[in-house]
Amino acid sequence: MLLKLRTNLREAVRSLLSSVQRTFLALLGIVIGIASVIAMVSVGAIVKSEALRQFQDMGTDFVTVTGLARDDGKAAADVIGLRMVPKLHALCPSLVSMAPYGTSFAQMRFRGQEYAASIMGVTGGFHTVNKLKMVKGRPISELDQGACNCVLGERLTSQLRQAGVVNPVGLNVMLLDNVFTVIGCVERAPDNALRPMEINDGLMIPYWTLKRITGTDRVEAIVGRLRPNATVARAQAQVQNAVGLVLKGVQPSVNSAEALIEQMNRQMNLLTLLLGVVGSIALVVGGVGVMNVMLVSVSERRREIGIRRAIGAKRQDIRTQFLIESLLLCLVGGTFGIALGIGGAWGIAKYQAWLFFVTPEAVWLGVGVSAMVGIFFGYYPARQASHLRIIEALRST
Amino acid sequence: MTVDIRSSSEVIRLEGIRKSFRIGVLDMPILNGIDLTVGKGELTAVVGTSGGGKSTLMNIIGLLDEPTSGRYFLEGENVLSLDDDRLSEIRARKIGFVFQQFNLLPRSTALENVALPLVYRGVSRGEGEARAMAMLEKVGMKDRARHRPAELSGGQQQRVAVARALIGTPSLILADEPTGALDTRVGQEIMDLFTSLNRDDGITVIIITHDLSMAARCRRQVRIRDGRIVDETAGGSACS
Repeated sequence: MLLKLRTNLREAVRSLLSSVQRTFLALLGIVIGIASVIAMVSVGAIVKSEALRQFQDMGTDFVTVTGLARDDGKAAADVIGLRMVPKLHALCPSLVSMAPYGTSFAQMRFRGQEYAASIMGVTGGFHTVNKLKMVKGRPISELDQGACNCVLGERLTSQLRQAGVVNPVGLNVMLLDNVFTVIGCVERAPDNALRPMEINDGLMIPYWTLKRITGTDRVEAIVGRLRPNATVARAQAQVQNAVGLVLKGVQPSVNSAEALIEQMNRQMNLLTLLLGVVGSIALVVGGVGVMNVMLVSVSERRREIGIRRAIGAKRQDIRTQFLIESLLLCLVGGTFGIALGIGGAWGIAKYQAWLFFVTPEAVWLGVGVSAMVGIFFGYYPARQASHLRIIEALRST
Repeated sequence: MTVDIRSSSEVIRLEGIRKSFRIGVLDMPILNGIDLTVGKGELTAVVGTSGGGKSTLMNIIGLLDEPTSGRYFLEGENVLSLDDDRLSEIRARKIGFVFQQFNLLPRSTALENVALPLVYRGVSRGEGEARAMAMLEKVGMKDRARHRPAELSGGQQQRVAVARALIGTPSLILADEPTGALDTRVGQEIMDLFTSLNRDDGITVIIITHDLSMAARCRRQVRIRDGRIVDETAGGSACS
């Protein structure tokens, strides 16, 4: 058996090499199909680990509450003000902490230069709930109240460094027509769809100061932490109930890491479906291509089949020979496909700034699927070869 | 005159072999009742005009084709009742073919071609190649063992084909117009090979030919016309 296998393998290699161009074209479908499957599985694994990694630093109990304004939120009666937050918190036992913040946008001026800055008005709890780390100085605290103090995010800190400021703590900058003193700089927080993106892209000032200068008391969103064992759905129900009591007609939503992972998974499922469909179609097309190549190979080698049968090859021997040939064909295609698929996954990961790694399961899956395609689509031609009438096969040219 | 042989030394016994092909609604008879017995160690020529049924007979004897009716015993075994796998086995063990067109595998070397029947009998590659080399030496092709068929002359290819037919130590060598594609001198050399194999090693050989000068070198000649054996001679000139 092993002996025949080796002989068959040698024959298969020879036969495939004798028509490289045709072999190559037939393989394209297999390559694309396997590549899609591999990319699909790899990206799936990468996304999963990425989701975990993203939320690891922040903790999966982190939640944001959004949708706190009615209509466009222009009038004071349509929004949640800071004073309402403790009342809300009392009605939401599923949340350990709630840190509200408001937002604005302005130019920060320093030494005649202007820097675009997203402004977040925060309270003392904001820093801890977001698990921010200081590079220098201290965070905004309850004691800052209406003071013109600000904490710079990573982008502004590095922009100032380019302007020659080594340590911005203690500097005075112009913001919203007021002089603000920089009291600290925060480290770059890992990007995360839940965390307010303004943390890296702007600066933080006390909520009360923002309210005083802009004249609006509007809580844009609330970040918080879930109590252990509390569910997001429970928290959402509590928040909706609580907000409903002070502001009719709004549907606040509670977003958690869990929900976000869920959402990522949904997006991922879409991608998986797409790649799966492309992969399946390509595999079928590729399989038919392989079948075609094998049928051509069989009809070109009718005489050879006749000779082999005449000198004692059983049907099974002929069938095995052609099956091995199509198996080998598909495994070669599968190998290229695996390489291409991993390359594709690498590209997607690179584009999305995800951490790339190779999943061994994907490689085995690729090998398995291509072997299956080879056997499935090679069976019919191989059977046909083994059932040729010997004298007719011998008579063909 | 028939050759007196005991049934135990019979290689082939054909009884009332008929073969017809269906063309549309017509049955075209090719063989109309062939009775033939070939004894062990005989050198037999089957002659006749083309289209007379020689090749069909050879295909039936070689188990490549089945007769429409009749009985066929190969070394006493009723082979027409056997399944395809068993027939393949018999072809591998008992019959060696030599074809007019040599029928070597173009991508394989002479050595691999000769060793091929052994592959299907499960002989290891090393042993197979050693035996193939010995067989190539026997037919005078040892120094061409690593060449592919395209690099050999017609006569050389036919020698390789003879070596391939011999390697399984068959009970019977079937040669279908073995000199038909060769010029006269080379054809004579191949005939020399067959006659010496028959004389020295006692191998049973059936040669199908339309060339009477080749047939004349066989002790026994069977003439076929219109699907019947019309004339049978034994003797003539013994193999030289």
